[in-house]
Amino acid sequence: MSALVKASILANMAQNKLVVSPIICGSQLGASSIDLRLGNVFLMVRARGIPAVDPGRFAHADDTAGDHAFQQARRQKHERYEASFGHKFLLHPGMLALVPTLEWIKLPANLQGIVTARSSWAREGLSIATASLIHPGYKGVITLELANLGQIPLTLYPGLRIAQIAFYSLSEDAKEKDMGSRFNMAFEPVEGNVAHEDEAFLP
Amino acid sequence: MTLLSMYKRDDSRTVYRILAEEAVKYLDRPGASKKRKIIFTNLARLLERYRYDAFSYDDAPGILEVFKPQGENQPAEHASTHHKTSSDVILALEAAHTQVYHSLSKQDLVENLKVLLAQLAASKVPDDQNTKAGLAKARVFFETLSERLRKRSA
Amino acid sequence: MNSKEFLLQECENVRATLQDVLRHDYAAGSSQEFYDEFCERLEVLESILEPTDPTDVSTLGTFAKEISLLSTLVHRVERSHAGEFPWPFTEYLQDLAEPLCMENLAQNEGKPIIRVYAEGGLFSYQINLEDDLSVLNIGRRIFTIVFPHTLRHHVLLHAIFGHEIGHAAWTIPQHKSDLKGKVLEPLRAVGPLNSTSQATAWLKDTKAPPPILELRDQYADEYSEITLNQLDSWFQEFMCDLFGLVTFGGSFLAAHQTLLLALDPSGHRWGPYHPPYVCRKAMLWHACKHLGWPNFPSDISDTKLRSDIEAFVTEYCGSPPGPWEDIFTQDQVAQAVDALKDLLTQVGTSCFSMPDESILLPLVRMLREQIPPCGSDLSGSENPANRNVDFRHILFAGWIVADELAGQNNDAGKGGQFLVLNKLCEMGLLQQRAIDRYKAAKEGGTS
Repeated sequence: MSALVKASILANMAQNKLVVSPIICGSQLGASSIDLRLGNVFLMVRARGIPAVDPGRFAHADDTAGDHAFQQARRQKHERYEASFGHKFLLHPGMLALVPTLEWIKLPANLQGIVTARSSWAREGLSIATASLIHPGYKGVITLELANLGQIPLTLYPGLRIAQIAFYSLSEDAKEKDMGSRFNMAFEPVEGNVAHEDEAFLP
Repeated sequence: MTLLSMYKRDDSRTVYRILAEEAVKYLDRPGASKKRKIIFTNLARLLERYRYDAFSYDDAPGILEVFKPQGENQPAEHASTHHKTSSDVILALEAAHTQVYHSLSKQDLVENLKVLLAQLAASKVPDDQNTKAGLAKARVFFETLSERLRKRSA
Repeated sequence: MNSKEFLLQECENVRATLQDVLRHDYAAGSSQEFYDEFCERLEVLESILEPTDPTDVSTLGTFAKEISLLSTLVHRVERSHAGEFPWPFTEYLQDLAEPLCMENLAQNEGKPIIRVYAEGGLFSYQINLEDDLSVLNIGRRIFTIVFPHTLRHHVLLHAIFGHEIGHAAWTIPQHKSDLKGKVLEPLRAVGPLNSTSQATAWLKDTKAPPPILELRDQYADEYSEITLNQLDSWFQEFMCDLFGLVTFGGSFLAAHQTLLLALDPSGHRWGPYHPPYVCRKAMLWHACKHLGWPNFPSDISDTKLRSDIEAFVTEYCGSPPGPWEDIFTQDQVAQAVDALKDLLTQVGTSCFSMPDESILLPLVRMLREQIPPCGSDLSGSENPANRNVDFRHILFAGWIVADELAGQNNDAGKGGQFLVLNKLCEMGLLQQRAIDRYKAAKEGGTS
C-alpha cells in the first residue's frame, strides 16, 4: 500500500477512475493530498436529546420502524442546521458537529482515502475527531466529525478548506461485494449505528 | 366558509380614501418618517395602476392548486371570486384627474405626480415656486380623490 | 374593550410574533430587510389607527384586515427554515425573477423582499407578489416563494416555477399592460376561445374527445356556460405556461407534463381557473416548433446524447395535436413567444437557450457516472478550469437522463432512482453556486 503523489492523483482523475468534484482552485492540490471544503449542513447532538449513547438503543433498529418513541428519539437526537455561503456556524469548545464536505468523492476499487484536518485549523483547536477511512468504491460526500478542542469558539463558513484527503493504493482491487450497494450514496451526514452486527454482545 | 373569511372583502375604496387623506396632511409637513414614505409610495403604486389601466387583480391559485378537489369542478360563476376590480377607485381617480389636471394626459399626470411623491417620500422637496405650485395642485387632487371615495364609502 | 382597542392590542401581538421570527435562521439574504419592513408596516398602521374615531366602522374594518394579513405573512415565514427547501435553487430563481418583479418606484421601494418557505405537498407550488389593491400598508412588496415540503429535494420538478414567475410579472402594472397587448392579444384574437359564446360552443362540440364528452355528462348543469372571468383565468394560465417555457426551457416542459398529468391523468379536466391540459400541451408544441427545438438533436454529434434528446423531444415537446385541442395557430403562438422574449430581455431576465453539446455532454456524463452535474473540471488538470454553467442546463441534463436511469435495474427502484437523480442535481446546483462565487470573487479581485 503506498500513498499517491500529486501526479498519480491527477492521472487517476484524468482516467476517470478517481473523482473529487469540484476542485475549486489549483491550490487545493498538495504534494500528496487534496484539500476539502466545508459543506453546508451541520448536525449537532442536542443536549436534551437522549440520556446516553447506548448501543442497546440501536440494536434491532429495523424492528422499531413503527415505534413512535424510538423514532422520535432518533430524530431529535441531532439538531440540523443548513447554512448558505456567507453564513457562519459557531463550533463551541467541546462541541461535536457532523458536517459534509462540499466535494463529491468517488473512489475506484484499488484506492482508499484517509481524511485528516488541515494543520492550520488543527492549531486553532479544530479536530477531525477520527482519521476517517474512505473505503474503495465509496461514492458521495464525506462526513467530517468536527470537534473543538480549544478554549474559544471557532467561526466556520461553508466553503472553507477544512480537511485534506490522501489516497493509498491497495494490494489488489477490492471485491464488489465488499464495496456496498451502488445506490448507497452519501448526500449528507447521518448518525451511525454503533450496535450494527454486535447485537450478540448486548443485553 | 369560515367565520372570519366573510370579512375578506375588497376594501380598496376605504384604503385609498385613508391614503389620500393622510397624503393631504403630510403635504405641508416637512421631515422624514416611515409613515410619509409608505403613504406616498402606495399612492405612487396607485398612480402606476391608473397609468396602465391595471386595476383588476387576481388572486391566482398556484399551478397545481387548481386541481384541489374543492377548486376544480365548481360551477363557472365561482371563477369570479378571485378576480377583483375597484371601479369606485377608478371613477374617483378619473374625476380628480378631470377636475384638477384636465389639460394633462394620463401619462403626464402620473409622471408629474410620481416625481412629486418621490420627493415627498424622501423628504427632499425643492423650495422653489414651481414645486410649491405643484404641491398646491396635488393637495387639491388628493382632497378631491378622498372626497369622491368618501361619498361612496359606507 | 372596544374594536379599536382590540385592534391596537392585536398590533402588539403581531409585534411579539415578529420578534419570535428572529429565533430562527433562514436562507441567505433579506432577513433584516424583512424584519425592518414589517416593523415599519406595524408602526404606520398603529400611527394611523391611533387617532381613528372608534365609531369609524369602515376604517376599523379595513384595519382588521390589514393586521390579519400582516400576521399571516409573519406566521408563514416563521415556519420557514433553510433545509426545508433547496436554497441554491431558490437563489438562482431569485436571480431570474427579481428583475421582472421590480416596481417602477423611486429609491429602493421598487425592489421586492424575497421570502421562501415550504409547506404541504403538490398543491403548494406558488409565487406570490403582494397585489391586493385593498391593502393599505406596503413599503416594499414581499415576494413569497412556496415550495412543497414533500418535494424539497426535487429540483427537476421545481422548474414549474417558471409558470409561477408569470403570475408574479402580471402584478406589475407596466408588464400587465405589455403582456395584455403583446402576448395575450395575439392568443385571444382568433380561435375557439375568442369569446364566451364560442368557448361554450367549443366545449359542447360533439366532436370533442371522448373524455370531454364524459366530463360534460358528469357535470352537465354546472358547466353549461363559460364566463368571461373563466376565460381570463384560462388565458393567464396559457400565458404563464409560455413564461415557463421561455424561462426554464426543456425542464419546464418535463416538469409541467409530469406534475399536471399526475393530478389529472386524463389530461382533459378543466375548471374555473384552468383549461384542459391537452390544450396547453398543444400550445407548447407550437411554441417548441417556433423555437426550433425539435431540430436541436441534429446539432448533436454524440450519438447517445442525440438519441436521448430525440427521445426527450418526442416525449415532452409533443406531437401534432388533435383538431379539438389545437386552439391556437402556429402564428398566434409565435407572436406571443417573441413578444414575451422581448419583454424578458428588456427587463434583464434571461431566457432559456439550448445548451451547446460542449456544455450538455459533460453534465449528462456526470449524471450517468452518478456525479453531481456542474461546471467542475474533471480532467485532472493541475489548474482546474471550472466553468459557469446555467442552472437551467443542469436541470435539463437531469431530465434527459431521467428515463434512462429510471429504466435501469437497481435497488432504489424507479421512484427511488428519480429521487437520487434529483439529489444529484440538487448537489450539482450547490457546487455550481460555489464555483460561481469563487470565480466572481477572483474576477472582482477580492480573492
